[in-house]
Amino acid sequence: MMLMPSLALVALTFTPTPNSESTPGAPLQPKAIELAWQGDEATPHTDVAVRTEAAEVEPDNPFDHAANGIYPLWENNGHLLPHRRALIGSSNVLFGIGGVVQLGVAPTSLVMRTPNFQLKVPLYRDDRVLLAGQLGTYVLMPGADSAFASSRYTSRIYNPDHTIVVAPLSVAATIKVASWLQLHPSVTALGVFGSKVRSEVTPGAFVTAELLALENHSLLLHGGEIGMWDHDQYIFGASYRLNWQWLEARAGYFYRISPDGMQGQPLVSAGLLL
Amino acid sequence: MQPRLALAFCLVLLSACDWDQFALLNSIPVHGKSGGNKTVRVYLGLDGLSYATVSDVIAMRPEVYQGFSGGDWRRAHFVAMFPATSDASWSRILHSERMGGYEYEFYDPTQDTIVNKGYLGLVNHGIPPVEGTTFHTPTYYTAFDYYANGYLDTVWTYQTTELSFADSLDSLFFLLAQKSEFEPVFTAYIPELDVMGHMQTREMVEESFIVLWHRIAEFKRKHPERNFLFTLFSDHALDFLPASEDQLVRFDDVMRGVGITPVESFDAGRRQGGMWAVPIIHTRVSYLSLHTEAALAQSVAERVSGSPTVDLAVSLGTPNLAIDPNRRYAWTTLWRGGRELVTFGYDATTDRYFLPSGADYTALDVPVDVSGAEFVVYDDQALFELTLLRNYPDLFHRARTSLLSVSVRYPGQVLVSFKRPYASIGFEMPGNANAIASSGFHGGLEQLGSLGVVLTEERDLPVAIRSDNVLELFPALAEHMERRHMYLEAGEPGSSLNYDTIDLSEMIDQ
Ligand SMILES: [Zn+2]
Repeated sequence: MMLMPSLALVALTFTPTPNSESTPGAPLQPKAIELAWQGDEATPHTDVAVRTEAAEVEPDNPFDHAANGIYPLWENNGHLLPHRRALIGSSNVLFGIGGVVQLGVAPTSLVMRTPNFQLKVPLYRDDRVLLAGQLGTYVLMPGADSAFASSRYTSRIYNPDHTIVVAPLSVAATIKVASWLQLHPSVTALGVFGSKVRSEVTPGAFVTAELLALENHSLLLHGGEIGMWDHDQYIFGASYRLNWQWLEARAGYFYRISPDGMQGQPLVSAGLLL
Repeated sequence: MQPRLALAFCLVLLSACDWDQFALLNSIPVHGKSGGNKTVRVYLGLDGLSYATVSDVIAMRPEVYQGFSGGDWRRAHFVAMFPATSDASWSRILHSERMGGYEYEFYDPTQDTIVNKGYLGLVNHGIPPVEGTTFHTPTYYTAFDYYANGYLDTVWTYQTTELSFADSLDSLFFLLAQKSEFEPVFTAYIPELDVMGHMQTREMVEESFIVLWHRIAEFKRKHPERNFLFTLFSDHALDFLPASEDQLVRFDDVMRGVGITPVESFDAGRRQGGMWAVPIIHTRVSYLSLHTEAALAQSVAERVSGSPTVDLAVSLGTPNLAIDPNRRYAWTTLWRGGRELVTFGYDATTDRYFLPSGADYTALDVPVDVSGAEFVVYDDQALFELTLLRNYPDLFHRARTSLLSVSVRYPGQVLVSFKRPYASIGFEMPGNANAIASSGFHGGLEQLGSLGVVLTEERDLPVAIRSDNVLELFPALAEHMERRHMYLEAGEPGSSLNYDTIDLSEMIDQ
């Protein structure tokens, strides 16, 4: 129901001058952006008023920046989707409500015996800094450890007969360092609970440097530490993000390095911006 | 959208699913409740690692020698089944569900057709014709907690073998530390040593084995909280005898040369008439199987054994009525040079072999003396001991069971063991890629490709283990497979040996 009108609106507003009113990362220009948001005056739409409001909360083009990290669970940033904007993606389905909440689900995990949700709220913002908090829950149902589509992937978790609940609580920021550079640091406390596992909270930190290369393209460098004083692993990676009209596409490669060994893997996602 | 494009799109989405979940699960630190799994048994299946390679390494490298002489490691010869090829051999070792044939390509008599012929054109993608080069996952893979690290792992294994080996070790040790908090057994399969043996050099295999050795030692040092008991076992050996391009045999030509028409189905053969057989051109290995009607099998074996490229051909034999007037025994014939070398009998009820006089045992490097008797009788164990370190280890058992539907549903009627350096070219590569994968072989009956290795810290070992019995000696591995919901085949009843009494001390200089 919502899909088609929203798509039409996005096309109308963005196609003629995609993102042209704002340089990504530049100081906020609410006026120019409002113009872009309202788009063609000849196509009045009930959403417009609301969206103008939303634009005041997040005056950038809301899709200039990803509203979460590409690396699941540990990576995040300070951006939220504005009211009634959504990302329907292969790795994430995100929905903004009132500019004060963003709900998310990782559909890939969902279909692999891992029901999950994420709830993100803005904590602080000024011209240079956006701060957000996120609470998530992943329920690893029995068998989630081997629910891969291909047996060529192996999990180091073992839960064929018991449920493990994983609850990350994180605070993430986006710091606009320059017109071409943003930093997205985040810290996470990861709670793990289950009848057959040790209940514990593991800290982790992640930093992503986003180089805004061209108007619709970013290059991102990622680094993370899981465990801190009780070190578990480092995560390093690089990725690319494209936001073009109604499309978001991300692709990257990541390494997990533990004291015992290492894994490397790609991550890709594609999504529609509504 | 075009169907192909749609398919590609779906595959990308599926990949995305696996990748996201892979990233998620493997970055969550989860620990078992303390106190569990004080002892963890780790079984590493090392494809194609020879007993001789390990002996060399121990002799060359003092630190590895120290590990053996000072540590708790035990070492045994592993005697591969015939054909000594991975898919069949792992299935035999693990008693996993039988494969269609000895490898991925096989003849299915119920459909009278060759299944997976030419490995579905995978060769077009630059993957050499070595076994294991497909994306299929035979049942025995289920026994292994870890066997690959991604969709394209198979490709990397062949394109960049050393990197892929490092990757395999990195992955398996990454998994092991946490996985062992939950399970008392961890199993992994490592294909690269075999690939190096086929495509590279013996030195590279040895260096890689040393790397593995050090990684195990390092891991154990880092994890004193558990007692990790490692067992390394292989499925066959590698002979490290290269073949030049003109020594890679196109068996269709050999068959035509000896008056046998190669066909693709029994139906085609029957319509053709005369002498015919369905050759299964496996990967680039030193054996080959032929399917034909029972009535033709002996003649086909006799004729192909006449090729100078063939060392031995195996077929069912005609019962020797002087020994077996009631036809109660199973008879097998070994052929060489276009004539019968020996036809031996096997009595399943007593697990004994009947070796008749008049056969050329010297040609088989089997030290039996039948002079003055019509035949001699050996029990299975005695023949195992007698032949173990000869040119054809465990010859009689291996030849006999190669024709049975143990480990494979549809065994061939004739099996060919090539006379090295000749070997089967395997399914052929387009272009000029035939020189690759020619530096070492296995598959045939000869010792060099047949004697793999079992190394363990877990228990004492006999000096040699028949492939059928590995699981008997490592019950924790069998239990692990059952936990992984695998059905374990009973195996061949006559394969058991009494490892407590086996004595080869005179023959073996450890
Ligand atoms: Zn091989």
